[in-house]
Formats: sequence, C-alpha cells, structure tokens
Amino acid sequence: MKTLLLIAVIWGLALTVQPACLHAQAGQFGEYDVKAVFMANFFKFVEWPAPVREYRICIYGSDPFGQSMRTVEGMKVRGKMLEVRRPASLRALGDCHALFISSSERRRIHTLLEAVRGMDILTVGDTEGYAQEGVMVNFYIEASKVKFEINLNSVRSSRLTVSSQLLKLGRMVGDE
Amino acid sequence: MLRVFFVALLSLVIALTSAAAGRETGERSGLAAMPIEELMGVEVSTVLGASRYEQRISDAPASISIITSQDIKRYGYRTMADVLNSVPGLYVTYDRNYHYLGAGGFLRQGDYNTRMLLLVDGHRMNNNIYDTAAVGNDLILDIDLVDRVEVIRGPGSSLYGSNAFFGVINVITKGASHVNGLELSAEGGSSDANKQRATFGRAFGNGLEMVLSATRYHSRGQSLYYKEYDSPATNSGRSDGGDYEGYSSFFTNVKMAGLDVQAAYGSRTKGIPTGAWGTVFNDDRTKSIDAQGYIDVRYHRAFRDNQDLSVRVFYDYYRYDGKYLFDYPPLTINRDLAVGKWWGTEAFYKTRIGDRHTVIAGLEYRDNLLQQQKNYDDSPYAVYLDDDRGSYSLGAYAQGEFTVTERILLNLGARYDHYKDFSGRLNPRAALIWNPLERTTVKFIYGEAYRIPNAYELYYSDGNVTQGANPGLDPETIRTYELVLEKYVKEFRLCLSGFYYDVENLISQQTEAAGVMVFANTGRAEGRGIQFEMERKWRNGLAGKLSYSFQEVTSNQDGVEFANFPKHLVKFNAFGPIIRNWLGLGVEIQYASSQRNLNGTRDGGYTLVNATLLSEKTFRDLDLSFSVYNVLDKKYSNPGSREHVQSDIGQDGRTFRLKATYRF
Repeated sequence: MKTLLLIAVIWGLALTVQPACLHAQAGQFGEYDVKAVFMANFFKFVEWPAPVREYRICIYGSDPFGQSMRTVEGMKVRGKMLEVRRPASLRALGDCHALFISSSERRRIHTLLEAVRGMDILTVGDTEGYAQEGVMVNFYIEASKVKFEINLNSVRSSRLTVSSQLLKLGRMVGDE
Repeated sequence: MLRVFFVALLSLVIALTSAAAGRETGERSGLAAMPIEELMGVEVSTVLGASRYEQRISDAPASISIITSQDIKRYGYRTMADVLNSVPGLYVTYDRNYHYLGAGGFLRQGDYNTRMLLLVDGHRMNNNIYDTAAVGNDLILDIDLVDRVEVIRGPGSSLYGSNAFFGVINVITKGASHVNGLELSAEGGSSDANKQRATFGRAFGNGLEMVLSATRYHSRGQSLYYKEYDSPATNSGRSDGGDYEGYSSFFTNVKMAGLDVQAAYGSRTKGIPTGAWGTVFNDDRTKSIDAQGYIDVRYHRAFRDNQDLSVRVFYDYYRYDGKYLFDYPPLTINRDLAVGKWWGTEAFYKTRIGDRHTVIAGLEYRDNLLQQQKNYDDSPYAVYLDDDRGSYSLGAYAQGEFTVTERILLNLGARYDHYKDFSGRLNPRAALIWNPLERTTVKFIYGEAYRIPNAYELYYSDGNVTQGANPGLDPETIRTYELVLEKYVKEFRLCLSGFYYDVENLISQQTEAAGVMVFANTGRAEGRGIQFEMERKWRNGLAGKLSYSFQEVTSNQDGVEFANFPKHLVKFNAFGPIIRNWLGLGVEIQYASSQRNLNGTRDGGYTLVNATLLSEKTFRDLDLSFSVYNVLDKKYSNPGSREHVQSDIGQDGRTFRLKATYRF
C-alpha cells in the first residue's frame, strides 16, 4: 500500500505546516472572511448618535471568525480605525458599536438583547431565527451567497440611523 | 507513475510553503476592498443537493466537489463531460456517440450512465428508458447556463431513490439577476464546430424573475482512422464525414412569489463513425438522435418558526431515434425508436426541532405513462421489437440532522420506494460528522442504494440479432462506507477520503454463446479507493487545485476482471491573472493510468493538458476566450463497449475554440 503511505505523508505534512489555523471555526472557505468584510462595510451605512472616534466590532460568545477578522482589523472606514474585541461579559459591551452575537448564545439571546437595549449597538448575528428574536442584522446563506435580513423594528427602536441603501440590500423581517 | 507522484508532492510542498509565506506578508485581500454590492455576489461553499436544503459542505453527509460558472469560463469547459472530468475521482469516456461517466472506479460498458443521478435544479434528468444521465451535448442544458455543479459522492438513494448509486450530480442554473440583461455568445473551433447562444435574464421590480435562452451547435467532426477496418472494401479504415454532431436547445425559468416554473427542450444528432453494431462503415446515415424536454412547476413557501414546504409537479418527454445502416444485403436502414413519457409530483417539508435539529420529510410519486421501444427496418418494413410498457413508483423519505454536542452532528436518513414491478426497498444513510479541531471535519458515512433495472435492460431486443431481452432482472444494490477528512485553512482546503463499497446483483451486459448481448445479474463487485484533494486561492487572484485518487474494483467471480477503470487519476487546475483582472490563463492537467479493455488488452493511459486564455470585460461587457484542448496533441483512446469491433476508441488530438460573449 505504497499509495496509502504517500497520502498519509502528504496529510501529515499538511497538518503540521498549518498549526496557526486552529482558532477559526469549522466554517467554510471564506464564509467568515465574507461576513467580516460585510461587518466592516456596515459602518459606512450606519450613523451613531454620539460621535465615534474608532469603530469597534465586538464578538460575543464562541468566536466563529478567528483569523477572518484580521482581514478587517486595523482597516480604516470613513477615516476611522476599525477595532475588534471579544468581551467576556455583558458588562464590557458598552464600548461596542457593532456586536456580533455568536450562535452559541442562542439560548440566552433574549437576556443579551435586553442587556444591550438603549446602548446604541448594532446587533448582528448569523443564526436562523435571530432576526425574529430582535437582532438587527442577521446573515443567512442563499444560493451559496452571504445575504442578510434586517429587523426594522429593532433598528427603529434604537437611536441608530441606518441608510436606506443598506435597507434596500437586506431582506426585511418583523418580530415574532 | 512515480514521476506523477513526485510532481504532485513537489507542487504540494511549494503550495504549502508559499501559503506560509503569504500569511506572513499579511497583505490586504481584495475582499476587504469590495463594496457591499459586490460582496453580495461572493460565493461561499454550501451544497444544496446533499440534503435537499442548503447547508455548509462541512455539515453535509457526503464527500462533495463543487464546480462553479467561474471554473467553466476559466478552463473553457464545453460540456458537462468536461466539467466532470475535472472532478476528483470521476472520469468520462467517449465512444464518438455518447459520453460515459465513471465514479469510484466503476463504469460498465453497455449502459448509459445509469448509476449516477443527474438533477437540474432538483429535476431528475435520467430518462425512463435507458436511465441515461446525459453528460455530453445530449444534456439539453447549455453549460453556459450553469451556475454551479455539485458532485455529491456516495449513495443518495436515502433521499432520491433509484439511480443515486454512486452519487448525485446536482446542477444549479443561473438566476435571472446573474444573467441580468441580454447576452449573446458565439464560438467557433476545430472541425468547424460552432455554437451560438442568446440568453435573456432579468429580475423585475415586482418580484418577477425570468430567464430565456436558446442555443444552436454544429460540428463537422473529425476524419478518423480505425485499423480494424483497414481494407479496401471499407475505405482503408478511414471514416470521413460520419463524426458530425449538432444540437439545439431551449431553456426558460420564470419565478414569481414562491412559484417557480422551468421548461427545457433539446434535440441532438450525432453521427456514429465507428461502425458500431456491425453497421456499414464510413456511411453518414448511421446516427443517434436524442430529444428530451420537461416542464417543472414548483411552489415553495416558508412558514414562521423555520418551516419550509414545497410541492412540485413535472412532466417529462424523451425520444431516441437511432438510424443504423446495415448491409443485409441489400442496404437497409434499421431503426431503433424509444419514446418515454412520464409525470410525477413531489412534496417536501423541512422544519427545525428546537434549536439544534433539522428534519426533512418528503413524498414522491412518478408515473411512467409510456416506455416504448421499437426496432424495425424501414423498407422493406419488418418489425423486430414493439414493446409498450408503463409503470409507477412511490417513494417516501425522511432525514434528520441532529446536533449531539457542539462538535458532533449526526445525520440519519432513509427512503422507502415501492415499484409496480419490483418489491419495495428501504435505503438508509447514516453519517457522523465530527469536528475534532476547529476548521477540521471528519465524516464517517454509511449508505445503501439501489437501482431497479430499466426498460432497456429488461425488454430491449432487436430480434436477438445483436441484443436479447431479460425481463427477469432483479434490482442491483450497493453498500458504501466512507471516511472523509476535511481541513480548512484560511485560503486553503485539504481533503482526504477513503471508500469501500460492495455491489450485489450487479446488472451487467454479457455476451451469450450465440453472440447475442443480454443484461444479467452477474453477482458481486467490490471497490475501494482513496483520494486526496487540495485547493487554494491566493489573494492576487491565483487559484489552484490538485487531486489524486486511487481506485480498484474487483469481482467475486473467478476469472472476471473488471475493465474500464484507471487505477490512478491525477488532476491539476490552476488559474492566474496575467494582466490584472483583464487577462488570465487557466491550465488543466489530467492524468489517467491505463484502463483495461474488454478484450483484455490495456490502453496506455494518458496525460492531457488543456489551456484557456480568458479576457473578461475586454471591451465594455465583452468576454473573450481562447482554449486549446489536448495541447500536447497526445494520442490516446478510451475503452469501447461490446457494440464496437475496436477494443478502444481514439480520442481527439489537439483542438481549439474561440469564444466571444457580449452582454447588453
């Protein structure tokens, strides 16, 4: 079984050469790269009530982005630096402009949304049903392309201003 | 062989080292600079056909390869056969009449792609006479209308019933917004091959989406030489003017508010230049005409709490008209006529149970209104076969995807089919999908599948001149075990997989003592194989993939050695920009080791190189491409089936194609 041995060698090689990749999720080729860039793009279409010095993306719960966030970290959007944080507790969310809520938080989504209410945070998710629960922007995949739905009620009940350009690109959903 | 391994290993090492280097430089990817409108068009890897709903490839209960419309452009693919030849572990052979698809080392001479299920937007394309999954120009869908081809390896009978034996090929067509306007395309190439296509697609503001397309193709074909016919009576083995091919096809898809109507029709004529079935050599009157059409109406509705319901009704038509010139004497045209008509309906339901489980269930009814086969001489009129059949089938299936822990998914499914003429059968599939490390997936898959004998295998006979009927055939079954390892690194995909399968009651064409060919259940076959794949996309637009597969099929019968599979397949594809986004080069290298022919000899194997120069948006919305196939002009051949005197059929040498597409 010379071929088997060869394959084993190739595979072993592949595993050892790439030890730095162990942080990202079992996501797909590029799926979270695309979502990260989407999030960076959102800052172009959303206005916060208070002046913003640098844009902060927070990721809450188990991080599906891993390396993918590095693509946008430190990037400038509308002349402002983009920062990425991974706050460990609800109390640390105050500084966030956009909050990505991981699907690991599905069970506590209500508590989370309640906690950030009134904090002027753009809530983002990529879990089926999140938008109906009240998350403002929720990614979904259709025909192999990343798309997003927008809960307009959630957006309107915050003090954020979302441009109609972004609204046009998303799919509208209502509350449950 | 060793050389191939060496090259494969070397390129792998180079790729990996440059991967590490690329990470260090940390350059900004083109993705980050993309405006949001463009981002909406970026494809990520999902699969639709593995579970009948869209899911991540890493969650799907199968080993999967995806070919996109971008690949079709970059590598100059002309037909589905070209596409499938680039897929790891698959190989296509051609006998200058039809293309035959092999998977898992399995390709039986004498049948017409019966063991792969071909779907176009979920519509079953295998016809109801020969079970053919057409992958050449007889596939009525123009390859330019294809958005994605999903190749789902392994048995799919737990979802799709008969024919999904070695896998499912799910073709997804371009949506209206993908076409977005009027597109005109013209191409020309070797042997006066020329194709014209007009496609209109638009997504209107009121939610109406429409695609309309028509294609016409003709090729004069090649002048061929067969040493088996090298005598003065048969033009010294030269076949001139018998290799022609032409087709025309139409496609339309209209979507509005959950309703989706698709209709397609195509007809293809191919001259048979090989003197098959003992027809008169070097006479262009011997030909195959295949026509197929369907209309498929779907209604889809999503309910709250993530429930989906869809229903589908379809009607299909297929007609084969074979004209064979025999010298009885006198010279007589013998006709093979097959007409199939069938309709069916399907209901599909999907729901999520709690947060973590997805369950689907479905029902399918298919009614073969007509399965007619005739064989007769034109004049003097003499009928050898006039067989009229009808049949029906009813299938019910369910599948659940259960999240056991954060890292473990369990996928269980089964389908029961009831047939008019065969006993019912339950086909299960179970997959355990485990993520031991982040971005690493291990899949253990067990599946069963079956195929009921088709009307051709059961009832076809030309009066026992060359072929006899066998109405006593039983269905063939398969059990498959697969182990798949997938690993994703930032712009890298690695996949290692192995399979073992066991076929029982294999339906196979045999030559009886009197020289008559008959289909029979011929016992067991076992196959095993291993496959390695890697794929990488660089940030500067360079993309490459490399695969190696080893496969072996054995029979339990003494002295029976299976023919027609290459033990080793190596495939390499790379595309790189030459002048920014304006001009790019796609190179494809395919190696297949030698295959055993039916008479026990072996062909020599081959290495093919294809290259395509692609210029997108050369001028406004004009795309130009120039492709050279078999650049090295390698002389190679594919094993032929029993209807040929030739043990192997010579393939095309170096050919080229020039193509221009303009969007208004």
